[in-house]
Amino acid sequence: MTTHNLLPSGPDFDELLRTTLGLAEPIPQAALSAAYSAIEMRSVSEELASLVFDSLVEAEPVLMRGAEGDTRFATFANEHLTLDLELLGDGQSIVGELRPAAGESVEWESVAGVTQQVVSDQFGRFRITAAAGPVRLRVLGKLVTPWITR
Amino acid sequence: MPTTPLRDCGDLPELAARAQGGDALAWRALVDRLKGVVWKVLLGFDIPDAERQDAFASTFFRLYERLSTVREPEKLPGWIATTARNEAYALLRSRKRLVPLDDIPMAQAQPDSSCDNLLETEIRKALYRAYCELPAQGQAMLRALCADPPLTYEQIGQLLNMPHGSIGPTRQRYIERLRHSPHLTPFLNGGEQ
Repeated sequence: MTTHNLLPSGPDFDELLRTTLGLAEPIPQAALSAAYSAIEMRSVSEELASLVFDSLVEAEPVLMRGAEGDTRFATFANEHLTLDLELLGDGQSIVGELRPAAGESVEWESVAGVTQQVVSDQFGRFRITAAAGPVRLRVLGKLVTPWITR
Repeated sequence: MPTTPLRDCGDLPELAARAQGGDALAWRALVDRLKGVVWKVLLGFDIPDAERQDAFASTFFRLYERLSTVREPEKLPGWIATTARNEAYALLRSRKRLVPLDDIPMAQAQPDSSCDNLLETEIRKALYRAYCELPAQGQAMLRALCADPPLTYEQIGQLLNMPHGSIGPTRQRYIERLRHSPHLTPFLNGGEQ
């Protein structure tokens, strides 16, 4: 039989490999805590918008990125609003435009739970600077985007 | 040797339903059930550790926001594995690297002193050193095959861009390479291959 000093075979070897990898490559506690906290993020009362256009996706299957500093274009929509976004190449700036155009409170949220707000102008336009990392935008009471990975 | 048997997916529908209803304990349990799959997928890709952790968290944020649309919760392991891969891919894209979708760079695991501290027995240390000498794709494949809940060969083939028919034979080859690694020689007896 297998002991700690003898290499097992068959399913016992597979099990040794499985438990060894689990021990050698643990999930960092900080990442796990962040995953647990997903349920504590402010509940989404607005209607989740669908991604209807993404220049990243539209570029498939070539999927080679263009020159540095390229802007990515994405459009989200639900039955109330359409939100056009330009995700600028600096990885932080986002220019948005709401249709139909109106001055609305637009909030953005990082995965760390930090939220900030801006009000769009009469043409529905706004510009924000959001630190690197996934972000989601919310037009209060009307629309929320899925998490956008930049 | 401590063993945790592979679990089936029978509890996923109930956990998903309760988590969607705001049950924080059920959500935690759901994360615990799927965390290994996500981490094993992400470890396969060559991305900095901080970004890997971001991708891990955002994979679960995506799961949470999509819970209400999940129709077949027992298929969540495959769904979340694909989601994790897409998060890794998006991170690579965001770093402005030229990355074709089917060619995400694979990570080469390295044994270090922290691993040795985590691996309590000599045979585990030797096995992990042998594992680290496999090519990156072999590491990623064996790791994905160790996921719990298990992924299918089809899912692993999609993740690693391999024909799924080749996974069984390739797995066998890598297992043999591991077993014949010089690191493991001290743990063979006369009758062992």
